[in-house]
Amino acid sequence: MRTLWGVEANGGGANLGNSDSDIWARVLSGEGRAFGELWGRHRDRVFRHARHLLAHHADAEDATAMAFLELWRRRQDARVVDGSLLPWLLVVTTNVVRNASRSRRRYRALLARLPDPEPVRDAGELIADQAEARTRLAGFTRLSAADQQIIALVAFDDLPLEDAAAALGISYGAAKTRLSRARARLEEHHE
Amino acid sequence: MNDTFSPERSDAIRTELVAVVDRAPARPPRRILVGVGLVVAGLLAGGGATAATAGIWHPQPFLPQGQPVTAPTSNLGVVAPAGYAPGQPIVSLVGGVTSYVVDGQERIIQLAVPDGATHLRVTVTCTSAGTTAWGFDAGGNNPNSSCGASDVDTLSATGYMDFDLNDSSAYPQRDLFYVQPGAGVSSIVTLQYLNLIETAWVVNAAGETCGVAKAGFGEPDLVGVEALTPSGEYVTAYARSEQLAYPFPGQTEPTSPADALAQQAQHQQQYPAGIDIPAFECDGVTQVGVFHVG
Repeated sequence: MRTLWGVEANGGGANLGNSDSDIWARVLSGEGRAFGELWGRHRDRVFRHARHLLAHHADAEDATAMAFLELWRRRQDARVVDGSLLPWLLVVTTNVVRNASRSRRRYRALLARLPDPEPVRDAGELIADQAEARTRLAGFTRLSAADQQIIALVAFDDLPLEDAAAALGISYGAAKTRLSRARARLEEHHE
Repeated sequence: MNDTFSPERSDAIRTELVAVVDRAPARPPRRILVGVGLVVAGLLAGGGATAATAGIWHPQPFLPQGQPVTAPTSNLGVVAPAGYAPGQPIVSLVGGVTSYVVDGQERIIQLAVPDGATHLRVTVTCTSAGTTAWGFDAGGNNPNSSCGASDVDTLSATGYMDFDLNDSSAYPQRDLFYVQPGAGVSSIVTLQYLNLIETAWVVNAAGETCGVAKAGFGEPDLVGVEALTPSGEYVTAYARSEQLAYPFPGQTEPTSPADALAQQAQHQQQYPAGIDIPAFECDGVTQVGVFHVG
């Protein structure tokens, strides 16, 4: 059976003139303002993803910033999945969190220029956040990098498995197998 | 759990991101300049395509063989402007970028070439072992790429090829693009339109060509590398193509895959820390540093 896919004149099947593909092309041509648009478009989803993985609000903000900087640094490798950069950004975010020390060293100058995080008003809330994170991440941090990626994308961020597979550069079947394996290992760690 | 991004920090980060892009030089990242002619055996090889000996830039360009694709036939092109290595094309994206998941079934992608586009860049990432053909021929007479099981999930699984959209003899029909996977073979295919201007290699006083590899054409005599100077800095310089291909003393072209493995084992034993080869200016005489291999 053959499937016919349409590609519009500006090159994107899901392209409405203001898709990630369009904006990303402007970024790659050196238009800084376009990168600001991407930030506005995906900041909150990336931040929520980082928040799943980190106990501290300020750390998640830093990780969000570093994920976008990594997107730029590794722009030759970035994947646009069905017209969206979000899956790739989420993959990068998980990597940034996993390699937090290295990422912070790389971007320490920029992080130092940012305004200080908002002070914690309620120590009780902070302790509750940390306890919640410990519970949420129990077992997760003991998974392999590949297993963490698939769990973070699908279980934490509700990304469709097909998009997660494309972002990770693996087949749908391989992603399904990897997810099943990762969930089993996660359960083992919880027991 | 507070899930709101601090507006003040968000604004500051946005400003930084905009500045990062605005400050970047108007050229691709430095790695594109590095054509070292290494690490190529087995990359997406097999079928009608082999990976180019173009170096460490990822993804690797394909060099289809015996297929209806066009490639430069001489060292033509404009003089490489500042910031570009000789032979490095000046590439601008035209329009957006689109990815498709191809999973075992043939896909026909309808194209509409935007004004100003000269090439269609097709990037294929194997997500399973097997062969996939892709190109403009409905009958399947197209370039193809193959991955072994060990290539999947590695950098070796990705390669690209630029189709010259102005070559009407090679591509009389350019409105439909065919991706024809083997049974059960899956991949991710990305399409993007380019405006691509070829630059010429420099020819030095000794008649040697100098620059970076041209996809579909080959390597110059002196190939761009990032060389280490005696003062410890990395600079763009040029190493002899032959030395890059066979850097170890007495090394010869392998006569078989087994011979290649045997040579590799021998070199690892004799030169566990690798070896330095000289890197020159384009004149091929003035040495500016060394390029480390191994």
